[in-house]
Amino acid sequence: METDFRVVVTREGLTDIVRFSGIIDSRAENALRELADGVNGPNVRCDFSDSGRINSMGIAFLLRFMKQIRDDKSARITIRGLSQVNTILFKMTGIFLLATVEQ
Amino acid sequence: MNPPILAFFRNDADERRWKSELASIPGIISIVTGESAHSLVKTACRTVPKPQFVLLSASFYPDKGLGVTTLVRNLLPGTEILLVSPASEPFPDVGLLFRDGIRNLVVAPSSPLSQGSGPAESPLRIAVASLTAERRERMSACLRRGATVSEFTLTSSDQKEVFIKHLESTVTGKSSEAEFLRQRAALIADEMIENALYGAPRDRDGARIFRKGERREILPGERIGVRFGFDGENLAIEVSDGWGSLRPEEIIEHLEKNRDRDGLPPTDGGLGLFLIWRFVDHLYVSIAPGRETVVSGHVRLATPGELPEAKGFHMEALRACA
Repeated sequence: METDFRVVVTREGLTDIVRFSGIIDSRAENALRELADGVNGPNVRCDFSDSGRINSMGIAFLLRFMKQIRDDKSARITIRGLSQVNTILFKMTGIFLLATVEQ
Repeated sequence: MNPPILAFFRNDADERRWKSELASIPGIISIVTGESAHSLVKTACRTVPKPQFVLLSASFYPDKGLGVTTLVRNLLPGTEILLVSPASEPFPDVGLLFRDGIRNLVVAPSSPLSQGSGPAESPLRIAVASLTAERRERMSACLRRGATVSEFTLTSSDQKEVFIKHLESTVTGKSSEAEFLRQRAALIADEMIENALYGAPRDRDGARIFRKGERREILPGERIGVRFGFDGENLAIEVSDGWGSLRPEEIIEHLEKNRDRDGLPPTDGGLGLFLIWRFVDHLYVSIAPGRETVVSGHVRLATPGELPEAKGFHMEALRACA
């Protein structure tokens, strides 16, 4: 698993696909700060299949990003590809209040 | 020979709940108070005026009209109280615990755990072993005999990832339980090291010296130590810093605030410490103000999925530096 953080946005129809890879921590701050400008919605799929560990700083940045696109762009956010620990982490920290898991 | 440990239970059923675990703890004097709580507690405290610590059933807490906690506090000032609470009961109010000077809590399954060959498989036995062990021996108390404890000293923030990779490779196994433990271990280590690198260094006014995530060298005279051990089932991790700037009330505040929230986490910090607490099976914090903070945790192989909601902790606040 690649440790350096990367995020790539592509578009499929009405859905922005946001693919996260690497570790999401304080080093992801700038990329996640600018990320909201790159998505338009109305649907945003966050794919964590290639991401590794997410620490408390990463969680804080993800929350900010998701709140921003939900509030400013009325985006409907879905999530896929979570690891065991990241699923618990998202539940524990309220990310699932902003996004739902894709079945 | 160590002084005995005094253990108080409200009734036979209360004691029975912990009996199998108590049997393996040496030097424990177990007292079922029944309706005569005050007189029996007084007698026990006079007979054993200097116990190692007092183990108190959560059935006495909060005082619930009996005043046993207050009585123990008054009769044995300065003696640590370890509150034991069954996982099936509501989690004790963390703020209240701290107000009452109870810095040791074990939340354990109500049903007896399987008996293993190791030193300490149950949360209660681990907590007792930890409470009675010297600081340097605490990690070994969580691990089976003979487990190797590795030790590192960080010289720069760049070494965090190197260490975490090493930790992950130490937790061997291809099972989903092993993978779950690897993921938890990496997150716990990450948060502990981040706290030591960026949370601990403070200036005279208590303001943080370093910004979270910035690349930094360890300062001359500063020491960040990392220790861990894995015995095939139990993992113990410990990170120490030479600042001793964390305050027990700050920890309680973070745990309480994050645990009780309904919605998104607060933005004023403390989430990392809360995550450590939630992902370890038991949290240990030892603070010598101005000298050292040691944060350690014990975590063991478990089926992936939900974490138990309630966790125990052990906080030790040593005397301030003269």
